[in-house]
Amino acid sequence: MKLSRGQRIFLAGNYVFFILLSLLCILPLVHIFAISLSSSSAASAGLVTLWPVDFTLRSYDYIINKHEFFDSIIVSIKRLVVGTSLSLLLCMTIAYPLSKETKAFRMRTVYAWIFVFTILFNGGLIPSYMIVRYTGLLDTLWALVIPSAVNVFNVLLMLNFFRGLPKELEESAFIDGAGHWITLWRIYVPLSMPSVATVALFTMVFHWNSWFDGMIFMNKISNYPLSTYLQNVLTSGSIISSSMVNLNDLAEISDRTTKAAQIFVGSLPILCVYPFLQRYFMKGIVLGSVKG
Amino acid sequence: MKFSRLKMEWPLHLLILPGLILVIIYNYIPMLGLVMAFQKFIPALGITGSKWIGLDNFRYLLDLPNIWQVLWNTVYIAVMKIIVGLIVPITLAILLNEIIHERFKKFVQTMIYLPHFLSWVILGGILIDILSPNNGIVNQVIKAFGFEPIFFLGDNDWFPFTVVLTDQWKEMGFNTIVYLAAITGIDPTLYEAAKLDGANRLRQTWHVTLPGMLPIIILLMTLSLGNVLNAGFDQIFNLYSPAVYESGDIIDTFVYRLGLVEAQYSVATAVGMFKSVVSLVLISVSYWMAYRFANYRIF
Amino acid sequence: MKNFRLVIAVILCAMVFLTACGTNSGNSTNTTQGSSNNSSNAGSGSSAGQSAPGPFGKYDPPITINVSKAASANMRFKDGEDIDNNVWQREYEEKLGIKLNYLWSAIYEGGAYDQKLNLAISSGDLPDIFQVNAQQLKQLVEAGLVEDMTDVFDQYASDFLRQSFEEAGEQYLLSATFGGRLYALPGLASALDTAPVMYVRKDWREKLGLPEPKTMQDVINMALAFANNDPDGNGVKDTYGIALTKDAVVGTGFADLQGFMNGFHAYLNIWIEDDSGNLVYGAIQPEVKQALQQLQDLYKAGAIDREFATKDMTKVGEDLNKIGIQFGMMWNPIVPMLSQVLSNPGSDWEVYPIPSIDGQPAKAATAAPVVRFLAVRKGYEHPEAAVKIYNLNFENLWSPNAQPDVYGTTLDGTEALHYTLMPAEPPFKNNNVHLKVTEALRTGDTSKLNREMQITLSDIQAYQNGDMNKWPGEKIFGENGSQAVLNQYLVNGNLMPNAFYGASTDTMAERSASLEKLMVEVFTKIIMGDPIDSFDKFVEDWKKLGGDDITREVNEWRAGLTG
Repeated sequence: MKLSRGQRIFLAGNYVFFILLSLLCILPLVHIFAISLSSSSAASAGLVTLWPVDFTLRSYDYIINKHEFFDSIIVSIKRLVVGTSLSLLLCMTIAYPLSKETKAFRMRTVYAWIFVFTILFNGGLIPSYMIVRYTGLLDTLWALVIPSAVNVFNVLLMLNFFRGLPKELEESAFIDGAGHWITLWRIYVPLSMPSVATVALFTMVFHWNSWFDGMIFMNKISNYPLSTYLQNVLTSGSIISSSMVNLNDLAEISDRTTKAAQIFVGSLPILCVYPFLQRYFMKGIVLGSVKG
Repeated sequence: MKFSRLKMEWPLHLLILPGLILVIIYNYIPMLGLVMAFQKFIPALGITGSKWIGLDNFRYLLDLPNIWQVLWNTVYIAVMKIIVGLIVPITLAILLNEIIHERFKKFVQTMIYLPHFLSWVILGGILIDILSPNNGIVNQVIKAFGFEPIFFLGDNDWFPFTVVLTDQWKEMGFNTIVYLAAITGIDPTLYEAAKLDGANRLRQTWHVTLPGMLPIIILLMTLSLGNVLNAGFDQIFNLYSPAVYESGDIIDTFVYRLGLVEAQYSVATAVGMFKSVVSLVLISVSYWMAYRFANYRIF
Repeated sequence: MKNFRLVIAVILCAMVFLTACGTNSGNSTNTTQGSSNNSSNAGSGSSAGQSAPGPFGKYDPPITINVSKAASANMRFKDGEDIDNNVWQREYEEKLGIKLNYLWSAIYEGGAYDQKLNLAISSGDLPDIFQVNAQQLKQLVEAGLVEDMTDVFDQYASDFLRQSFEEAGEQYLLSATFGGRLYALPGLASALDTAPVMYVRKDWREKLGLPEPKTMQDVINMALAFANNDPDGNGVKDTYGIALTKDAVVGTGFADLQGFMNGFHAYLNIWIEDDSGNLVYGAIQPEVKQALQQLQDLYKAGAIDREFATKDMTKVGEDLNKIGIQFGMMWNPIVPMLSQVLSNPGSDWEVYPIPSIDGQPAKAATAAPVVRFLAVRKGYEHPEAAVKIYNLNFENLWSPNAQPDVYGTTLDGTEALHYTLMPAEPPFKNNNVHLKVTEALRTGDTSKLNREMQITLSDIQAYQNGDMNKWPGEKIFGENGSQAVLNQYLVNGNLMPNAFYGASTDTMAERSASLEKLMVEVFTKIIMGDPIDSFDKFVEDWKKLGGDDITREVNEWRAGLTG
């Protein structure tokens, strides 16, 4: 197809624009990576730009050499597997009925508002803590998995996706004698793999990065998931003039290189998983919302 | 008639049941704790032991110096973020859609998603360098064009823009991908019909692409409206400083400082409740409008 | 039936969910059961769980105490050890017959511990003995949830502990005293170490031929010279006189305003006595206005970084190579100054006491001394156990019988120091290290040095032999280091301690955050050029928006102490 000069200029400009944009996005990461591989004094003196100064693996060594680090990875993995499965299951079982039209399911809108309401109103930290305590989940893996199991955003996404599937599927299933249960699992879900993958990715990212609940609900530091461990133990705050400063600890607490290394250690798994799931990503959200 | 409907419907109720139970236990029961907004809550006394003071917490909030400035800042920054957060990703998605090279497309998608993983703690330090009026890169470019350097992070006139733009840079990846996906789902025959009618690429975009993206645009906009009073605590906390309290202090940073000193849970709860009520109103209005004018149920 | 499977599935899910909850609630009720069992055991066995008398009396049979741990982020363990199994746990068991059961632990730095404790308090889950901050202590005392420790402390405190408290000064015990009774054991820490000192770039001063700064005017002149006369010799006007961070008004311990203010007899963030003997807030006194004016002039003249108000401690630490004077705390040589020195060979810093603007010597402000307290829940049968634990901490770490290699900074680098129930150190520990080490450097007699002092001595000697990594040791504990300056303050009586050391008063709780914000904003803007008269407006606003109420409450508190 022959392109006019205007179109060619546009295309070229487009490419250039996106190359520049990509650079803009990756350069800060390169900078942080360089810091994580630099010596502490060079980093704190502001000498590091895009290349490590006084190359050292010290900060990674520091993080990885504590066995609490590996313990926390295991907790994170457990949390991710159990949490994602549970959340996906619930997402599908809630989205399916909500995706029906009101004439097929009268209470539909009522239920929808009940769920959406929970995005808006929140009791706050103390009541949430207390309910977790009273249901006996404190200091267990379930505290990280059950309270967050119903994610209404994901439900809305999956709901829209289900709506996008042709009505004929459901009708022919019924004619063949299938009830809702079978229709959901045998027909809707297999056709919704893109959406399922999308929700799975979002949920996995959530479970991997979520650190506050780990801090609040877990009693022993050895039960912390990785994100809580990194957030709390490694980047625990700045030095505010307190009367009690243990001089031996001081240099450790404010180390820039460990904070930088923490970012990579914490996000590397997700950064690796993401490109794989990317292809499902696109289709999942598309059909999720095109159909009105 | 009613019986058979019930027979059809009850499996649906049953499917929703587990989720409903969870939500009742872990979302609705804690909501009872909102009563703290009307108490003088003291941890040692617990919720049951703390004194009821009615609307005093809200009165206290409204009496705080600068509260109206803070509220205005919050709304101003949040609304700007919503608007820019629509324009930028949609534009990027449309531009990206013009790229034929699949590999390059995927590469760019991954690249623009990357800043999402950086925390504002780290970004704060980087931005101070880049935006420095003395020797930051951006200002060096500005000076090269003959203009005065701009104190992006220290000038009350510029700070809100800096906040909005840097936030876009960090989060545009996600939104762009969503919109790009929406574009991919548009029926190609619509484009062909438009071409037959003589539309060039630009008109095609206006008449086919944008309308095709409308449902997802409305969904995302509605959800972000529900978020309007959360102008981005994490970001502002790491970027602001006494020089820009005036334009940069938002509800959450303000409340955070209150909490830091004396763990004022009651006041924090009152603020949360206020934000929730506003979000509820906004989302309800959007839902109703979309239903009424477009017959589109957002959820 | 088509939907039969659906029903089964939902029921199964519900069952799984309920059993999961069930077994786990079993676990956690075990914990809470455990604690009540233990206390009832201790109660019933109190005749048998009686301890031998005295400050180190051992409990026989041993008792189990439920505690919470404010863990340090730097807590590290030897292989195979953890919080329940380490040298201190064994020590408590062997020497005192006490087994500590850690119900939960959280990191102290960054506030996680305080947050978790607030949650525990809200849900009524108090451990037997636990660390609290001043705010929590006040709440718990007012709600009647902690034990009165007055008699227990009198009876059981060891001689060394008692002596340490006396040396520290009465405000330590007073900070935990309500209505004349002691309700918690204050964590001893050094107020002296929070006094500001002045750091000056030695190589710059010498290069420009400037004399040692003896007055505040010298400092101002030096700051201008550092900014204008190219002390780093690179031909570019890129250097500054005085370092400030965006948090300089409230203070972080590095590049603060406090030191500069003290030179003008102005005191930020603390309460001082006025001429009529009443307590007033330092930040609204007229001397502050004078100091702010001077800072404004310096900012206008380019001696202060134009962007200081957006830069935090870390950022200014990076810029440190371009700044010549910094008012900070005694520990700055470790962080952030060591990095700058290592990355810029040839640079060096010297430490001075705060000079004065006039004939009166400047007094260095010190912060309220106590941030941690050890409290005992009301009704617990063995409150004296808290005192004994404290006694043992001090005995093993700081007393003449101390064995720091085993119980403190161990030789393999694991800081066993962190395993104690609550960290505390004698307020003049660092001062002591400095005095003894410098004496040994002079006389060559190392016999009186304890282990920590020996290490410090060898560090200083290593630095003198060229090891730049040991620069902080010399700069802090050496002959002309920060501790030497602090010692001068002490000896000459040039300290201005915070006259208020109680927990926040009611109005403080409600208003101090917004008052502080007002102060930070106004002061920062004045330095950056706002008219100096906005200070007067600030004083008015401060008083109106709660300051007057707070002042009244602070004076009532003081009357209550002596009354």
